[in-house]
Order: sequence, then structure tokens, then C-alpha cells
Amino acid sequence: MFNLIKDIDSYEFWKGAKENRLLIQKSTLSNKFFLYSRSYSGVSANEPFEWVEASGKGVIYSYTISNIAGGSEFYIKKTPYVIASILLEEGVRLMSNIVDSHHSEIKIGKKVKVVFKELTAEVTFPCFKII
Amino acid sequence: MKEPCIVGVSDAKINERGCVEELSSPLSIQKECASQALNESGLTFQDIDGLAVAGLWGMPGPGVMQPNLLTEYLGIKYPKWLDGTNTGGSAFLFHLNHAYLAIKNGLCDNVLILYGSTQKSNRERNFLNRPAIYSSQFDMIAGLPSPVGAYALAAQRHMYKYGSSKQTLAEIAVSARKWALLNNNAYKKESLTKEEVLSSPIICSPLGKLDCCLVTDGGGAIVVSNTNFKEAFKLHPIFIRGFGETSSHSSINYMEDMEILEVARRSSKLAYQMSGLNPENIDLAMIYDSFTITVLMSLEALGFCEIGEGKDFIQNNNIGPGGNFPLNTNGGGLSYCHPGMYSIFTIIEACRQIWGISGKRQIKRSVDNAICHGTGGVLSSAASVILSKER
Repeated sequence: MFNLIKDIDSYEFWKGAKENRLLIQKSTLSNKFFLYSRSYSGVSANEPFEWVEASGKGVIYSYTISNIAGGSEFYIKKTPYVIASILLEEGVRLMSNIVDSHHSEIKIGKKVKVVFKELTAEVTFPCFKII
Repeated sequence: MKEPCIVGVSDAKINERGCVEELSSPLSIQKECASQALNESGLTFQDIDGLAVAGLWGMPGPGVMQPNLLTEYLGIKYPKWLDGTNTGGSAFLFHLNHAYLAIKNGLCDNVLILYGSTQKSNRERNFLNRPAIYSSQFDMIAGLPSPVGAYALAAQRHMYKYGSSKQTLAEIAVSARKWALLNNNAYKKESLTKEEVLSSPIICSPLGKLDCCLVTDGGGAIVVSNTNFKEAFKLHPIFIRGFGETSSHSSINYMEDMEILEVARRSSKLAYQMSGLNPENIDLAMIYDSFTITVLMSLEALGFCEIGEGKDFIQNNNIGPGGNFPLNTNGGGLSYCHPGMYSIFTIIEACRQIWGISGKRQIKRSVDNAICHGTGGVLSSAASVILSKER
């Protein structure tokens, strides 16, 4: 259903999601967080980094309610659905979905928390709901 | 000292269905446009020793190496300079910048910049189930339609931060349509009201169908030569006074501030600096309008108004025919044509306006300086070029 190709940059992220853990990365030099996940420090190429579990809380940075399917045929029968860029407490943004929430409640700046959704047998995705 | 200049342009004819002539291929479109542009310029295929091309055709397959295929197809003998830069729809403005540098530095003399697309005839715009890889994998798993969903996220931010609205965006779509009605080669031939734009079906909120560019076939060609060949020119050469280019991200989620088009700020700043001109000196702006929001954010980033004030700038037909600020006089990607990668048409129309050959849509005042600006990807890359009547 999803033609997802995990690689050295994203493997850990998806493994974490499968275990219902939202993993992000952090430079152990500057203590800055970064996304999307990479096999090196996204803050500065030569810095050491570690994987950490995010708090799972954040706010809606932006969103769109889509009436067409994007990315995968998986979404053809899901319209309308909500795609949102979530600004995590740690200061990094994750592209995700708003789920289990009324569309009329969705606004930029609203507080959200992570809920893991098993989209397919292979892919579990960190989605967010309004709190 | 020889000075690079544009001496011929051409755009492909599209019919009432937005398609090119039946059985055309992206290659035959480019050959046809190249012939017409060369004919307009006074030069011939034998003069061409440089080639720049970008497109989405022929992939996977020979289209991965488009410069090779075009060299072969057009029969250009051992070009001295080739460019296949693909930064999305902005690519042809990158090509023009690079061609300028190549000619100025003596690498070659006469360059063709080419584009062709049969995306509508061949129904090539299904983006579902492509491999979810690299940074886009997260967007794709979230189901973000590309590119419209990405532009919707930026539009939502812009409205939130600056109070722009669906009305603002509708005004931009209506102005584009008014210009298109003056262009015989425009796909859209019916008038359009603000109400019709506002009531068009929502694709990705807040963007509706009429906030989105068209899906058509099309193509174009630009001949870039230099003043050493001036005896051959049929038209007054158009000079490249300044340019700038940059890029910042591939996925919209890694854009620094989704409501500010920083890449356009930077590319235009470089172009203004190189030319010694500023926004007040610009007589015509040709801005890639992939979506209505792209125009709004570009006008702000190019310095025609302050960031956040685009909503006031575009009001009262300011950017329509008869308005104070001529913008996208061919009808743009919103109402003239959009074969997938549009920026070549910003150059074509700017040249025609400078030459004074734009017919019914010709701007009344003299067009001495025009800015062409292109966005590529999802507000990812930007290139700005200032074209002038005088060097």
C-alpha cells in the first residue's frame, strides 16, 4: 500500500514508530534537536548525535484539509483528511496527520499530542490529536 | 566586450483542449519552438553551440539525460556547453543565468533553452504510489498531495500570520484571467469572477481548484546570443542585466518560515544588486504563478511591497489589465498554459513586451526593465532575472 523505502537515514525513525515511540535526534554538542531523521547530525555535519524519544507534545504549525488523495492510494477512500506540520515541543517540525479530532477544531497553534496509528502491517505512523 | 542577449523566443501553440497538435512529442515540440525562435532571431541551427534543457518527459529512460537526447534529435554538432539543471519549474531561469555566464566567459556563443511537454495529452500527472523516499517519505506517508498540499500549508500560514484571505487569492486568479483573455494562445477563453473562484471546489484547504495552475501541454524556446552576432539580429537584442538563484529545501516541512519566500528574497536581491536597479525601476513583473499564493508571496519577497502587505497591493485590479502594476500579462500558469514547468514562459512574455509585439495585451508604457521570477518544487528553489532594453 505504501511504497516506503527505508534507508540508513530513516530506518531508526520507522523502527521507533513501530514500537509506538516518536524518535527524534539531538546533537550532543549543541543539544539542538533535528528532523527529518538522518544518519548524521542534521545540525552540523560533523557533530555527534543521539536518538531520543520526543515528549509527543506540540502545536499545529500549519495544516490542510485535503479532498484529494496524496502520496498513496491508501488515501483515496480517506478524503477528506487532515495533513499537518506539527511543531514539537523540542522545536522541530514533523509532517503528520490530525486524527480523532473534529475538523472545525483544527487551527494553527492548537496543542496536540501524539497517537500512533497502524496504517498497514508494515507502517505505524505517529499521528496527532488535539488536546 | 561581447554582451549576452536574448534575440528570439517562441511558445508552442495549444488548442482549445489545452493540448498541442496530435502525435506531437516533447521532442517535436522543442524542435518546432527552436525553429520558430531561431527564425525570429536571424540565427540558424548551425550557429548553435550551447544547449540547456529541463523537463519531466522520458523518465525513467532517455529523459534522464535530456541534453544528450536533444543534441542528437536536433543534430547539433558537438555543442561546447550543456546545461540540464533541474530545480523544478524555475529551471529555465537558472539556465538563462548559466547561459549568460557561459557566453560572457567565452565557452560558447549561441544557446538554445528548450522545453516541451505533452503531460495533458498523455495524462502524466498521477503522482500516487511513487516510492516514498528521502525527506519526502514523511510527507507521502502523511498523504500530502504534491505539490498542491505543500502550497496549501504555506497559504494557511500566510493567512494566519498576515491576514490575507481567500478573497486575496481570488483577486489574483481573476487578474490572471483578464490578461489571458487578451492572449490568443491562452487556454482559458471565458471570463472569470471572484465569486466563481471563491466557490470552486476546495482541493486542499484553503486552496480551491481555481487557485491552482492549469494542466496543459506546451513548450517554448529561447535563443541567447551575444553582440558579436548583432549584424544577424532581426530584433533589438534584450540584455540580461542581473540575476540571482538559490534553493532551500525539497520537502515543504523544511522551509524556514512557510509564510515567507526567503529563496525569492535572496535570488531577487542578487538580481537587483547586479543590475543596479530596484523594484521601482521594474516596468513588468513575470512571476511564476503555480498557485495564487505563489504570486502573493513572490510579490512580497521581490520587494514590490512589504512582507504581509501583498493583500493590499493586489487590490482594485492593481495587477490586472489597466492596473498600475503589470503582472503576468500572458495570463500566467493560472489561465494561459501550464505544461508542468512554467518559468520559460516568463522569459518569452517579458521579451515580447520589451519588443512591443504583445498585441492586445501590450503594456501602454515603454517596457525598459522586466523581472522574470520562477519558483521550483514546493517553494523550494528560486531564480530571478532582470531583462532590459539597454545594456
